[in-house]
Amino acid sequence: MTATTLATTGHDAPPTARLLTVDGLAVSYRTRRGDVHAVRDVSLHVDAGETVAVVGESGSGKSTTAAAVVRLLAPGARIDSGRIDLLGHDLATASPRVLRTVRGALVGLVPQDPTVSLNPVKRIGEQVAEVLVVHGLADRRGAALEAVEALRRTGLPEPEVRARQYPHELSGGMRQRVLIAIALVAKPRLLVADEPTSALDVTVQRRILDHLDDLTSATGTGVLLITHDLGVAADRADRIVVMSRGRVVETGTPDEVLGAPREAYTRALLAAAPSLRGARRPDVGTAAGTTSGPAGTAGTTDTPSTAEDAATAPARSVPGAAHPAPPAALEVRALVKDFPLPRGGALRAVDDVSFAVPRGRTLALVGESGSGKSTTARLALRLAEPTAGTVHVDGVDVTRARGADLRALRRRLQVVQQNPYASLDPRWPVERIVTEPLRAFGVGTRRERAGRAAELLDLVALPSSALQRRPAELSGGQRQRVAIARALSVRPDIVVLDEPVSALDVSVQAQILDLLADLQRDLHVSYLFISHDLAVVRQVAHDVVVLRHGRVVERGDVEQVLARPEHPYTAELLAAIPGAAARAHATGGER
Amino acid sequence: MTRYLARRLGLAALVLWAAWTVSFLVLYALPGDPVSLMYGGESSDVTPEQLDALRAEYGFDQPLAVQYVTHLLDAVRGDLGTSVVSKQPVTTLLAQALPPTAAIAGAALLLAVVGGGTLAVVATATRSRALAGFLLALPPLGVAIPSFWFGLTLVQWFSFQLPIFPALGNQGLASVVLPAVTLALPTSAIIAQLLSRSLLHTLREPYVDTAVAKGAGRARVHLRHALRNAALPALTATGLVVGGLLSGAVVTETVFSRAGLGRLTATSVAAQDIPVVQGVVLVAATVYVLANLAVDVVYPLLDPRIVTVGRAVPTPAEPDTAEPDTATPADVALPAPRAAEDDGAAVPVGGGHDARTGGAR
Amino acid sequence: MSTIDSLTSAGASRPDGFVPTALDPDTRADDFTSTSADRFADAVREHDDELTHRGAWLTRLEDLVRRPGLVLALLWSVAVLLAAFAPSLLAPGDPLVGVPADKLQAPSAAHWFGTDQLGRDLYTRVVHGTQLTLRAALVAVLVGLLVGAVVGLVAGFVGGLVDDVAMRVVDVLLSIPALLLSLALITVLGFGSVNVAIAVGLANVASVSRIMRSEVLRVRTSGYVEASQAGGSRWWTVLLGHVLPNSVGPVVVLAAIELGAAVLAVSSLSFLGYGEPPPAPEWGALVAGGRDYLRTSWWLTTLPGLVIVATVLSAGRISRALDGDPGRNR
Repeated sequence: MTATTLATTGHDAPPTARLLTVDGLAVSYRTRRGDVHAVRDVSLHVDAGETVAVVGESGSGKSTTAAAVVRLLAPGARIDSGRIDLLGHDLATASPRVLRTVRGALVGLVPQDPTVSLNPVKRIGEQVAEVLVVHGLADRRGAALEAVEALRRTGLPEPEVRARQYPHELSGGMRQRVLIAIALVAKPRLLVADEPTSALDVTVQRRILDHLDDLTSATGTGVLLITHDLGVAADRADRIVVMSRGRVVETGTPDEVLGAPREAYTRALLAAAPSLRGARRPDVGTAAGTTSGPAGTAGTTDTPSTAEDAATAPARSVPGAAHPAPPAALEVRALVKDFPLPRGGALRAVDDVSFAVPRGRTLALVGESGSGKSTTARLALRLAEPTAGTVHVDGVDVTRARGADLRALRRRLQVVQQNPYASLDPRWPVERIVTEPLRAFGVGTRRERAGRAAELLDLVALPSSALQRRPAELSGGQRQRVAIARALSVRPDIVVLDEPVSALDVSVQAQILDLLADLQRDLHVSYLFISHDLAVVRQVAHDVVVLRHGRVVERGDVEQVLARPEHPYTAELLAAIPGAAARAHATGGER
Repeated sequence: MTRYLARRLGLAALVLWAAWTVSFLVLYALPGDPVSLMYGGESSDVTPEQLDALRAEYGFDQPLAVQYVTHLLDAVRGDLGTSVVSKQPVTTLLAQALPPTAAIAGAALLLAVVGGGTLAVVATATRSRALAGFLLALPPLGVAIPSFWFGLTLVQWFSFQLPIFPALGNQGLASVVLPAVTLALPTSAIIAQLLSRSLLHTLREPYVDTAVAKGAGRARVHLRHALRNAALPALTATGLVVGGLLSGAVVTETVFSRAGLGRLTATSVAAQDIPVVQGVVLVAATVYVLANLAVDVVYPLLDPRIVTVGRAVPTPAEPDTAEPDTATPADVALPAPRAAEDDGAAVPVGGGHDARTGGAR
Repeated sequence: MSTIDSLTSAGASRPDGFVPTALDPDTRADDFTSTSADRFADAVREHDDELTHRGAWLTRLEDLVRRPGLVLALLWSVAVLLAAFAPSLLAPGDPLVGVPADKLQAPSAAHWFGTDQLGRDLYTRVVHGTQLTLRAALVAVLVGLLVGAVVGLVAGFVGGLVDDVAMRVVDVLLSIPALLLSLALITVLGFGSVNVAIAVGLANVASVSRIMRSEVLRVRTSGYVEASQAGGSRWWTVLLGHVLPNSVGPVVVLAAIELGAAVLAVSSLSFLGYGEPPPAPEWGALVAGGRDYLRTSWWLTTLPGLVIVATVLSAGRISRALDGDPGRNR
């Protein structure tokens, strides 16, 4: 859609095709501690057949803006001022009766998380048909037939069967298609899509967005697309609206915004976006050097190991038998994990997985949900027992380590978890959290541990004033820094990073990734990096192992694998990274 | 479905047996000498020789294990022993006492479901903050009012001040009204509390937003989308609610001097008539088990996510080969936990609402 | 996170393979929704910096003023506690001695709650009865919470067979209504305030242990416990440092509710006549005593009853305040 629309109409759409005008919108949330102004002064417009992407980080007010357009604000939120004009209806002040006639018929909504956005006790067909029934557009039987057609148009196979199913019988991607069908079945003029794919795997995300493009461009429906991903916006939008802290920072075509950003904030966002950091060298050092910061100067030249490193090169040619000459920091061989099913049989979550993490390097384990990557990490950490296979640390088999041996192993093998909101005890101050492993191993006196805590915070670039704070007083990125400091407190050889940045905003992600790279260079620690995001992996990992359905489909040096994927699945994962258009643009524009 | 039912019935029998065992342990094993407890005491003129004779007669001179087996076999045959006070078989006493209690408990349940349910729906649906606040403040009040006091207050108003209903006795339909209202008060408060909390929670679910975004009106969203989902967790509390009615009857029937199971319990406890008390405990457990059985049967009809044994997954969500997310082992795993769920009682959603649910597992 | 991943984290602790995450739409989306909610909190926090920060206690105080119900509940609770432990301060008279000439007088300035059939001052009797009723309720809650919390903690933390057996027993106990279980215990233990307290407390063990166990399981599968284990902490450090402090919060909330429930149960049992023998002014017994004079002397039942209602309501209000306390995380 993007290419054709841009080519044919440009952005000189006639004023008659104006669908939505938001003018001077301000929304605030009433909280216990006073009002919070989520949206301060937002103006934007969407024309027929146009996709407008609103991009911003969490707290930018982008989702609140979307919610205001359909008047689905959370309780406690109110529109303070401004106008939301949809085809002549002022939705900011519209009565419930007017809103009822507008919602579904003139404006459709594709919500954030498909897994919880369908009524679990109603059949799919009924839920799609309800829109038509509510608006009196069809009788019960006609609505049912039209619902099946709407489902068919979204690309769902066997729509007649789906219509009789319940939401829990469908996968996340299929449910999002159902929600798109609900949003479009009454042929609204405007579609509001609020992070429509961020809860889905990347490959599914791409298909869903493609389909959304096709459907809306065919009917000339305007789309207001809310996303945190500049890459997605660049691929899909005719115009991009960048928001920060409740205000519009910058507006323009993708070319303008991505090619020549006027505002510093946009530039920072652009620099941080992992999907847009194109053909950079995948080495740790290089990744660190791409952004400004303390690592900037040292990073560019520091390449601890070249891609042709002897340890990994053979791995690509002989998959499944990675045996580097010096013992790897961490190695797993032929790991298998079965989960018994209640009615007999077993589910094989990890199936014959082998890999080695060389000292001072990063091995990324990549896969979508259900690939078994997190289970593998738990097996390597000895938090779960493998059904078969072995775990080696420094060449020593630790699969059966117990008691003192296991604790000795824990000291060398630490973990940073995915969700920094859950991984820190809410009742403990940071100092106590950070020194927990030290206390567990009886390292140092109380005073020495306090000193070490201050040191560790310094290491992860947190002020020492944070020592006495509790996790609730810290932001997500700060919490993840605390988790990293905790993992490093006992000077481990290996740190398992389980999706360490996936719960964070892109700009915070970039900072954490920089930090990890710096620490690796300074401390020569090895990382096992678990991620679903190839864009992130490309920045931090030296070697990569791609998992699918519990099996290794491809392995090797990051640069080689990403440049010339051998397995079609890897290729598909790569192609699904959003922002291809912008990347091409960036490389063309800068060089 | 038959296998599902058979399994449920087997579990129910198991719970009954266990409840009987618990009551045996409490009533026979705990006191050491039940005979002197029942027949002795300071006001008793029973001689030690007569006590020994009674011990032999009731088998209390046997080891505890033998007594347990004897009693259990008797119970299975339908013989729950003989009342110490009235010398009548316990089963006869229970059978006589059950109908009047069932009458007030049934009426109370109806009142409580209708009253509590209406309150919850209105309180969560109204646009008036004041009305919602007022209605939502009522259930905590209902829970806090002691039913013996509420019953007496009702008598004072509606039997003495306004002589509409009889103050006591079992005569006629009118005598059911006040006891039923008394019994319904705490129950309706609990139902209202559970359902309104569940409704408020459900109304914040994203699928409710989806419904609103379709252009559905307030009533439609509330009744067609939210209520059915919100009723599910409340439904799992049925066993407790019904059991609560039974124990409430002890107080209520005492207040209104009504004959029934509750009155029988109260007098038997006072007289330390152990066989009757055990019989009542068994009845209560049976009622609880039956209520849960009913929930187990109804639940799969209301919640499609519960899969009864036999039809594992009706139509697997597999054919969408275009989407890798459907082909993951995760999806293969999905029916399994659902089936596992089915192994327990049918209490999958929002079980946290009441920690006492799911007893019949 | 995939189902498999959640199987490892949540399901592994459950021997029956019960995976709550797979069905419950809430927990299933937990990873996603919790972070997005937290993100919003973050965003709010960011904005918060622009708000003027006042002293924490001042905010607390303002909070209180905005919740007059809570203030009343707190004041009432103080009064009740005072009555329970120093009754003579509130009512210097003798609850057991009456002036026969003053019998059955309606409430007045001299006798706030009126007098009973023996001319005893009802207010004095209610105040002194607090001692019996509230202490019995406190003992009951203590018994129920202590036993229940230990059972739940052990079951949830040890898991496996221990958990299975404990929870099956709890299930069975729950099939018998609590009041009936108390009655069965009283049949055996005999009458009296202490026995009533023990019977009420023991009847609550099952429900408390269930709540405690679910809390322990929630904390046990949380990220920070896993991190602590992976970090090398010994099991008892994890138990005492993380699991116990984080799972005890809901139990404290529960304690307040249970206290109200125990007051109700204890006074119900004393109304039925299973408490202390007659002259003792237990609340339930007071209401029962007024029953014969219902037609003529309304105050004998109404006023002690209202005292019970106010006490139970206050306990409930305080427990809700504890539940929503911002200091308690989650």
